[in-house]
This record gives sequence, structure tokens and C-alpha cells, in this order.
Amino acid sequence: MPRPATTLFEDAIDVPLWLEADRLTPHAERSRRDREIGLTLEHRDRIQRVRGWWRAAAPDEEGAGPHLERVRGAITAVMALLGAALGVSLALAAFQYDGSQPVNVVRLIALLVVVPALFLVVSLLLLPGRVPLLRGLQDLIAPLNPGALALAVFRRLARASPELARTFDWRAGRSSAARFAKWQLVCWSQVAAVAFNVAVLATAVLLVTFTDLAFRWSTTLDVDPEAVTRIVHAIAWPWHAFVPSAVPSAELVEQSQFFRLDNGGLANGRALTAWWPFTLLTIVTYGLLPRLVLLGVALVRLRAAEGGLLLDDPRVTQLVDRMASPAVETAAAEHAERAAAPSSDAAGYREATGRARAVIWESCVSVETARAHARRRLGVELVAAAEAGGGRTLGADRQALDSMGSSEQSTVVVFTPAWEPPLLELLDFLGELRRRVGDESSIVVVPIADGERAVTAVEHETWARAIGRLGDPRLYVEAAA
Amino acid sequence: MSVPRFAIVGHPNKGKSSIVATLAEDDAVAISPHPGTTTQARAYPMRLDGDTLYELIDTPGFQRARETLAWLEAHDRGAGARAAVVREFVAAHSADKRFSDECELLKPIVAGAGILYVVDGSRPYGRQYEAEMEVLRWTGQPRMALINLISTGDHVEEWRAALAQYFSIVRTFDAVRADFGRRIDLLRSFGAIDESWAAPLTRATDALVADRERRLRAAAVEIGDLLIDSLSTTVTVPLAGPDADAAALANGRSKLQERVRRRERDSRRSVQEIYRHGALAIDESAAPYLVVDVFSAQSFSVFGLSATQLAFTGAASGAVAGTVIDVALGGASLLLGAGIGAAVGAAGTLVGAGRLAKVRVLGQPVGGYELRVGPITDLNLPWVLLGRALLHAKLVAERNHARRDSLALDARAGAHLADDIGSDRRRALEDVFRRLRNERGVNAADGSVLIETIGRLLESEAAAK
Repeated sequence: MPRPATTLFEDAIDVPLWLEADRLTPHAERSRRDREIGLTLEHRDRIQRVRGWWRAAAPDEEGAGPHLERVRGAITAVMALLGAALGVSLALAAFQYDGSQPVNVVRLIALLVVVPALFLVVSLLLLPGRVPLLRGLQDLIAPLNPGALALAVFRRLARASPELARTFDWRAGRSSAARFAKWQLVCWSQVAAVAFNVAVLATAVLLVTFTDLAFRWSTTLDVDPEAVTRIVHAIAWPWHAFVPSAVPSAELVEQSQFFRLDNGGLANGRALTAWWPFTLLTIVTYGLLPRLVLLGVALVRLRAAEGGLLLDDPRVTQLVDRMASPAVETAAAEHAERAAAPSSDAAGYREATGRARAVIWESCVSVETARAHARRRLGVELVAAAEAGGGRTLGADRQALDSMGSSEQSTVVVFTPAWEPPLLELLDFLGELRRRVGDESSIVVVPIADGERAVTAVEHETWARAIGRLGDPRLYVEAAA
Repeated sequence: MSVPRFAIVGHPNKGKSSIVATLAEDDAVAISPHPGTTTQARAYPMRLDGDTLYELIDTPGFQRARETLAWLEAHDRGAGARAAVVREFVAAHSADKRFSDECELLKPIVAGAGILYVVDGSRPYGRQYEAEMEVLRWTGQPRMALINLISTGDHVEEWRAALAQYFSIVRTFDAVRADFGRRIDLLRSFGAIDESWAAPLTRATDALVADRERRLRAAAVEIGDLLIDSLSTTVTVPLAGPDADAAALANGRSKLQERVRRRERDSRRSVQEIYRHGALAIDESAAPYLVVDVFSAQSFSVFGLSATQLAFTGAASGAVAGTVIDVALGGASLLLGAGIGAAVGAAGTLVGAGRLAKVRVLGQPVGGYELRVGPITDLNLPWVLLGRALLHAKLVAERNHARRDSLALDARAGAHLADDIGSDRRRALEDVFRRLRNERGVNAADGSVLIETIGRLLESEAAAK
């Protein structure tokens, strides 16, 4: 069954792993396959080409990617839930009003805007990359980021191989991996932050709608209502043109100042409820919107980092190269089976006495040298010598055979060039020679080396094998020196 | 236009298969010191995107050349009909086992293949070859003789004089030792046999040269990747508490070293695959510098930089950082930045020598502690890894596909390779190594610098060869 559509993240995980296993495929085959697929792809974008190749090369393959994607999705959901739960809790605490003590706007802004804004600054410090001046600080704050916690949980749940685990290490040496890990961390933390702010906002809206919240401001500091009005107007500046009713007036600010010892100093309850549009828009403007922007940026950058993760892998780099380069093949499609070794080599002939006749094959040695060699190495005296093979005609071979033919039981020595292979025409000649001299005569093949050198072990073995293959019990090869 | 086809023919055991293995870059071709290894003709097509540009055909050797020639002469109807008589010979004997080798080798020729006749120039010429050459002349096909050098003897001139009687082109070609350039030269020379083959052969050789360049770049990517992965590798060991004992430290170091060793092995395998030497083994006795452990003192002494070189490399890259300050100050610093940068760089280099890797105990966000070992901080290890990888890639790239022995080094290959790396390249590399040591990550630009520098080092090795 074809694999369902995959995400870029899944492909960035699975393609390099599949290519690693694909190393077992012969290089020529890989080149041909990838080039063929490459020629069918219309995309010019490298990421699209690699993903198109992946769909064509391994349509049924399911790797670790989908599992990691599921884990990633689950962690995203958990981060959103955690953020939302925290948001609801914090909003309920900040907006707490039992009719006795109105909600303190100062505390509200501190809890729902200032503290999250500080966290926002901390998040922003992680964005510039690991620049020298910030690195120490980044190392310090990154583990405190909720995204880092999510990343650590993800690493545990993923049970990834060491190679994959590096992909989720924001300190990784390869920038693409570090970049991916960083943006994943930022993404998760922003998901939690957005969920937090949405939950705060939703809780606030519900409380405003279904309860009678009253607001006031109080502080121990020596701040007069005019100063507070200026601060409030500065806070409300982003929306003062669009929603003027959400900008508290100087009168409202003055009427809302509250001292706990000064009971009854507040204006009537209806007037005090007028703060709620201001509080909601403050949460939206300084809590939710920056987080939404940051989440949007993080998602875009994460997407780019996933592409980088895919393309930066050297195996993928080579795949892209194979798709773009003409496939050059030079090897054979299949190879011959190795020939089986012969059953046994010819027996080695060391020494004998008496007289012998000789055939010198392919003029490999002079008659005098052959005579001396036979005397010294074989202990026989050559009484006759004939030449055959080489540049001579087949008729000359027959004449040589005729000169050997006799009913007399004797030894025939055949001198051959050791450096030449035992050709079938020589083996034909030896067969005919056996027929002529009878089964009782010994035939000794003597490979002779050229120049001053000795016959090598390989040469001797070659001759012993070829002669042994004839299965003639009285056909020998001179024993190795 | 027909595809050029070349039948590699000759006496048995004279290196026909070696020539095919070399030209086809196919180390699976059966090659043996014993004759009769090739019993059937086999085609080795050179394809470019599926189009065959030429084809080499390995054939068995002549076994009964004189009998074959005798048959041809017995059926001779004049010079104009000789090619037809050869065809008749093949037709008449295709079922005759006695002439199976002759039929196998003559079939592609009568079908139009050019002839590459191979002899062994290290052994004496003999008149037994004349029957073979005469049979080939009867075919009337374009032909060239190649004098291969299997052993140490020298009978080349003797052979050249004899071959010139039968072939208009005679070339000497050492199948086992020929480098890439010589192989390309030989392929180009095949175009001289028949002018209609020159164009496809030129296209083929151009493609092979381009493919070779791509492979060099692919090898550089592999080596660069080895360095990035090895130098940025970290391993972790779970700890019971916030303190790491000696056993945990040893365990961490050992895991880190094993990770680097495995990465080096993988990288070598990849480089061998790139050069189509997938099955190549490294012989311990023939290539000790490559077999010895990467962390051994021997590796460091052969491939590492000397203390002075390290100091100068550190000083040079420190000076670059200092110069940036000078430029920023518009020269108001009187180049003090460069001087101070150099001094700091050199001092840092010497102080940092001898330390393997960064070691830290980290608290985990999900609870518990772990010992993190890495990245590598030893200043010489990058150079050791690089030197070993360059040497290995150089040997593999030069390696001829006709060879069946293990990978071996020549006498000079183990000399201080770092000495061959110029100071500017050393500085560029050291900048990347420092980024990795400092966990700053290697971005695409750094990666390009690394691969480019390694590619040039591989190129200069190839050029030096």
C-alpha cells in the first residue's frame, strides 16, 4: 500500500536513514536509478526534488519519521494544554474578586503582561543564533525554556539512535541540526505561550461576561493619579485610535485609586467595571500578539530548518548530485562465475635414468640447452629432438610426432615456454603423442623460463594444473626446483 | 551511427581482462594468474544516462589459432572474401567445442567490433602469435595492438617491431598501474582506429572526466562530513548524582573515541564506493598508517601538526580575528589587534594541546544528571583525521581496478602529510575546526569552505601524482 503523504519533517528524518541503508546498493545502480528519477522530476527546487525522489524511490517505505512526527505532535498538544492550564489558573488568580476587594489593575498587568514580557525577552535572546557575546547567556537560559523541557521529553520518547538524537540537540556541530533544534524549541515554547495568553484572555472574557468584576489600582509607591494616567495612556496608545472606549480616562484613574485602610474611598461599582476593555486589550496587545508573531516566525523558520536538515545531510547532497549528473556506467551487468579448481595437478617428475627423446615446443629452448637441462635436471640423455608448435605449420607438428612414434618403451620430454599458457593445441599435441608412443612410455613436460630467471611457482602451478586435467597417469610435469 | 565496440582479444593470460577491468573500472572482473579464467565473451558497455557510447568486450584467448588459420586458408577465395570466410568459420564451428574459444572471440569481430589485440611486453615475442594476428587480419576489422606489461621483463621493442607488421597502431599500456589520465588517453586513442568512432569516444571520455571530477567533490564532501561529525560529536553518560567519577569519565571518553572510529570507517567505505572500490580491503602490513588506531601516538606523529605548526596555525587565525578589530577601528589601533590576536591564538593553541574533549556534568530538564563528553577539543585530532582521510582517498582514487591485492602505501605516502598543506589552507581549516570546538556550529558557508579546501587538497594530490 502506498505510503500516505508525508511531512517535510518526516522526510528529513527518513530520507537520510533510507539512503544510509541504500549504501549496500551498488554505486552504478544507485546512479542510474537516481538519475532516472531525477529526469522525471519537474521541480527545480532542491527540497521538492528530493521529496519527489523519495515518493518515487521508496513509495511503500515507512521509517522512523512518522513515529517522531506523532511524538512531536503529541508534545505540541501537551505544551498547548500546559500553557492553557497555566493561563486559566493565573487568570483566575489575577482576576479574583469576591465582592470585597476589587481586582488590582497593577497586579493584573504585572502578572499577565510584565512577567510574560520578561519571558518574551528571554525567548528573544535565543533567536540571534550562537553569537559569541550571547553564547554564555544563551547556554544559561536555554535549559530554563519550556521548549527545552519539551525537547528533553521528546528525546526520551523518541528513543532515537545517537545519529538521530543529534538532530534534536541545539548545541549540535552541524548548523542545520542546531538550527532545527533551536526553532523546534522556540516553537514549542511559543505554542505554550500563545495557549497561555489565549486561556488568560478567554478566562477574562468569561469572568467579565458572567461575573461583576470591579477594578481599582493600588500601590504603596508614591504615585499620583496623573502619573498613573500617563502610564495607562502610554500602555493604551496602540489601540487609542481604534477603541477609544478602552482607554481609561483621568477621572476613572483618579476614582479607582484604592487604599485598604480607606474603605469607601472608591467610586461606585459600575464606574469601576469600566477598566475591563483596557485589561483585555492589554493582554491581547502585550501578551497574545507578540507571542503570535513569534510563533509565526518560529513556524516559518522551523519549516526552513526542516528543509535545511534534509538538504544539509551529505547523503542527500550526494543524492541531489546523482539526480543532476549524467549517470555514467562502465561495469558489466553481470559477471562470470569463478571457474572451479581442477581435481588434481599432474605428478611431478624428478629423476630417471636412460635415454629419452625430446620435443621442443614453440622454440622455447635450443637443442643444446634442452640436452643439458635433461641431463642435469631429469637424469636422462636426449638421443633425438624435434621442433613443433610456434610458427611452424600443423604439418611440421605431424612430422615431429612421426619422429617420436615408436613401439619402444621410452621417455619423451616436451619442453614448453613456462611463461606461455598451456594452450589446447599443445594439449591436442600431447594427446596425439601419447597415442603414438603408447601407454607405457613416460611423457615429461618441462616448462622453461625465459632468460636467466627460474620458473615461478605460479607458472609451475599453471602447467601442473593443465596437464593434470588430462588425467594421464604417465604424463608428468617436471617437479619444481 | 553505430556504437563503437571493441573486442579485447589475444593469447590467453596476457591481461585482456585486466585491461577491461581497468577501463571499465570494474573490480568484479574475474582476473587470475592462471589461464582460462575467461571462457565467454562479456560486454562492458559505457553508458551515459542509458545511452551506450562504446562497448568493451572481454573474450577468451586463442587456443587453436593455427588450426583456425589452416581452415581459413583452405577455404580462401581471395582477399575480398576473407572476412566472409571468417564468418563462415564461425558459422561452421559454433557448435564445435574444440573451437568454442575462437568462435567466442571472433563473433563480436565479425559483427563489427574493432580489435584490441593484447600481448605481454614483459615476455619474449614468439612466432606462435603470428597465426593469431593473421586470423585477425583476415577479419578485415580496424585494429590496434596493446603491449601490456604484466611482469618486469622488457621485450617491448621486440614486440613493437613484430606487431607493426599486422597493426597500424601499437601502444604500450600497463593495465595494472595505469592511472586515470592514461586510461582516458587510451580510450581517446581508440578513436584513431576508425574515424567514425572518434566523436562518441570524445563524448564518452569527456563524460568520464566530468564524472571523475564529481567523484573527487563527493569524496571531499565525505571527508568534510567526517570532520564535522567527528569534531562535533558528544556522548552522554547517565550519572547518579552531580559528580562524575573516574569510571564515568573513562566510559564517556571511550564512547566518544569509538564513535569517531566508527565514523572514520563509514567515511572510508563511502569514499571507496565513490571510486567503485566497494570491496577493497586495507592490508595491515601494506598500509600500517591507515590501519593503526586514529587515537594512537603513531597516528598523531605521522598525521598531526608539530607544536610549532599548531602554534603558527593558531596565531594566524587569531591574527585574522585581530585584524577585524583593526579594520573596525580604521587603523587607529596601529595593527595592535592583529598582533594581540596572533599572540592569543598561539597561546591558546599551546595551552589547549593534549586535551581530548570537553567534559561537563549537566542537569537534565526532566530530572537527573548526565555527563556530556565532547566536542573534541584536542587541537591535533582534526589534522590527524584529515591526514588519514586524504591519504586514504588519494590511494583509493589512484587505485586501478585491475589490481586484486589489498590497499598498500608507497614509501612516501606516510610522510608528514600536514607539511603538504599550505598555511592559507591550514588557516581556513583551523577556523572551521575552532568553530566546532567552540560549539558554534558549522553553517553552509563554513561547510563550503571546508569542502572546497579539502577538494583542492585532493586535487593537488592528484596533480602531484
